[in-house]
Amino acid sequence: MDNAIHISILQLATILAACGFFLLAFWLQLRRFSRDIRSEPSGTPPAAAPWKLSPGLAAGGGATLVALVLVSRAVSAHRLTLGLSNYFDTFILLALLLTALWAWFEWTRHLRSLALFLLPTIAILILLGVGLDMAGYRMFHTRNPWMLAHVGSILLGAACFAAGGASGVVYLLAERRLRFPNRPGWRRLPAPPLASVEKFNRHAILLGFPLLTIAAVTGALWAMEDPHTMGPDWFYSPKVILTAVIWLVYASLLHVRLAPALRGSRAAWLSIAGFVLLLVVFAAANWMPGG
Amino acid sequence: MLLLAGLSHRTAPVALRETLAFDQVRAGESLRRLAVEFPGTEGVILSTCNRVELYVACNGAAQPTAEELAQFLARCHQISPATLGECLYHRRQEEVAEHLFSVAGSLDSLVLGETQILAQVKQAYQTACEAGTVGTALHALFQRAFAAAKDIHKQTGLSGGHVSVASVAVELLRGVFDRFDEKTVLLVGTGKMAGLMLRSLQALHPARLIATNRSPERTARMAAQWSLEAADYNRLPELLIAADIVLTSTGSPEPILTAERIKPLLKSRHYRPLVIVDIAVPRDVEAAVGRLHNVYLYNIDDLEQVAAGNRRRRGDQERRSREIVARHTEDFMHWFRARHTGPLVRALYQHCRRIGQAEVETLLAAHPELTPQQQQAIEKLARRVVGKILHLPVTELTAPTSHPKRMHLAEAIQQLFRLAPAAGAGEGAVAGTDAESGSLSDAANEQQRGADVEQPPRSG
Repeated sequence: MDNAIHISILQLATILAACGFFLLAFWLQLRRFSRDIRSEPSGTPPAAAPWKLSPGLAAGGGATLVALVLVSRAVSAHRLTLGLSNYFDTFILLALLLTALWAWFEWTRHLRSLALFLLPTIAILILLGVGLDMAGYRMFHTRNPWMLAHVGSILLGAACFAAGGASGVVYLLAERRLRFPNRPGWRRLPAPPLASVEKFNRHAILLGFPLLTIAAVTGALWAMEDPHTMGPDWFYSPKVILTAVIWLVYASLLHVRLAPALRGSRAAWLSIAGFVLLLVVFAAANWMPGG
Repeated sequence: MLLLAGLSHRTAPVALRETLAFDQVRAGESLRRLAVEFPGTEGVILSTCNRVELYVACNGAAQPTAEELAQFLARCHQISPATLGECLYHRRQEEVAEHLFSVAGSLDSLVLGETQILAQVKQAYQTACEAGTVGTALHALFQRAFAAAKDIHKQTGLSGGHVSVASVAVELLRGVFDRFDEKTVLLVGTGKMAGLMLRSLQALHPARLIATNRSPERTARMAAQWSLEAADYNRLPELLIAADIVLTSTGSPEPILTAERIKPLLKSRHYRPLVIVDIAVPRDVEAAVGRLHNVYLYNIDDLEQVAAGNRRRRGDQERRSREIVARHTEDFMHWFRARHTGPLVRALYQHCRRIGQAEVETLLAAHPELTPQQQQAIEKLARRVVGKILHLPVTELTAPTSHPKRMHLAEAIQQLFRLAPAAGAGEGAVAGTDAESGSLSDAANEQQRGADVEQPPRSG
């Protein structure tokens, strides 16, 4: 078993501050979106001086703090792969990946509304990482190459599914706006056409699905290679069963052409459910043998 | 002096606007003729489908009157000035700036907030530049107009939000679909409103446009009129499977599309999104259809309500846009007027400096024993005295104030100091007011200040 690298008080404070920064960025971005929506006849004129504290600045600040914690921990542990070796570091690495994705969405502009929903996801991931670390610190068996591939692929897969989940939320909101065009507040929510969001969702899941499959296969290979860690009944553990359920959810989403009834809002709900389930599996796995 | 003569959709019928329209070549020729007839006059002709306007800036000597401008416009098209009659409006000075800024910002357009007009104003300015009839005044005026239009669109979002039923429908369609070149539009019925809506849909360039109706003759007529595919009404279920957008406009007293009728078709459609726009009264499509999976239903009331909401919002945006126009007009006119006082200020300084210099020379001739340092000190003293004395009057003359008051002051200074009237705009202008206490007679410094003030005010 690897040596545990516990979170210091300073690291905890920094990472919680980063979480605050991401939530601030979310609030700022929400405010920016709603400024258009609020410009009703009697509304106040738009702010002549634009906000100096922009969502980009807040998210950038959060990402810098996360990166500082990650690098300082990796340096103090003398391990470059620390980001793949335990829940806390893996989750904050995922948060960094999602921040990069957020920046890309912001930059493309027409996907800006997708970016909005990544920010709370990042904050949740950080809190989940801290929570899991508090609940019981676990190091993964990253000396085993299967395990390293397993954690690496699930990390990238989770980033794709988070993007898929965010696009699901945007789809549902945009659809609601289109179904009730007269309802104030929804009318001008900036969102790309439903068809674009649906396409993006499919691409995100198309990319995440093989990564999830690789993660499942490498995980199974590791469990078979090292049967003592997870026990002989690993195949029937809740983690494996839940993973199978997630795999099926995403497989069905990918086959919407075969099951067209899943198109539209149903696919959006499924992609949100898939990501939530993935987080549940992450949390559940913490208490299970083998990680 | 800024002048404007023109007519627009608010004052003139389309036939007269067409008669008076200028293409680029004709506008260039006419502007050159204007410069010949009224030497020293700057001009720009703005000619669009909705307006023909002649913007003129003149510098005193050959100032055309309103009638002369009307006659000039009439002569350009070989029509009688009487034809223009009361359709022609005239503006002067700040009214011209305010009008142009409103036009460029699309506040005077038929469709409020449209952005095409800005491109047309830019084109008119470009044409006049090529014809060589744009000088300092109109250059500054038009640059300021572009800045005002930019501020309006950026700060008020005036160009966003659609106010007609057809454009609201298109906006909603754009919310569902990302492309239309592979989509099929089905038109059911031949109601009067359908034509307007159809024109908007045709602008999306869908792959197919199919028309159907209970009456084959009417279908054929509609199809021929709008270049649509005509289809047999009995094939409606099949057409509904193929269609992505359905426009209904029948005179049927009962709904022709019900949830029971559409629901079985959804599977055959592979649950592709279906947008139904029902502009018939009474409604052609049952409300329950809108609750089906991936089906979006809009009736005429929905569209009207969205359009009304946008119109209400526009009212507020328009008010804010007018405030932006007023601000830009004030800024521009301040610069414009100060610019006219520039030559006078320069003449005043030169006059007083000459007196000072003459006295200094007399003094130096009478006292040859003075050292070069003492001579320099005396020259400097004379310059400082002139600067200090003129500081307050010049500040008063160039301060932002009402135009008549400034004119009175200028006249008073001209008479009191026996200065020649201002030679006109375009020459070096000095409006610097707060740095005159020091070495004012430094010619290089003055030239520099003149060059600074010559620049139009910062725009944007």
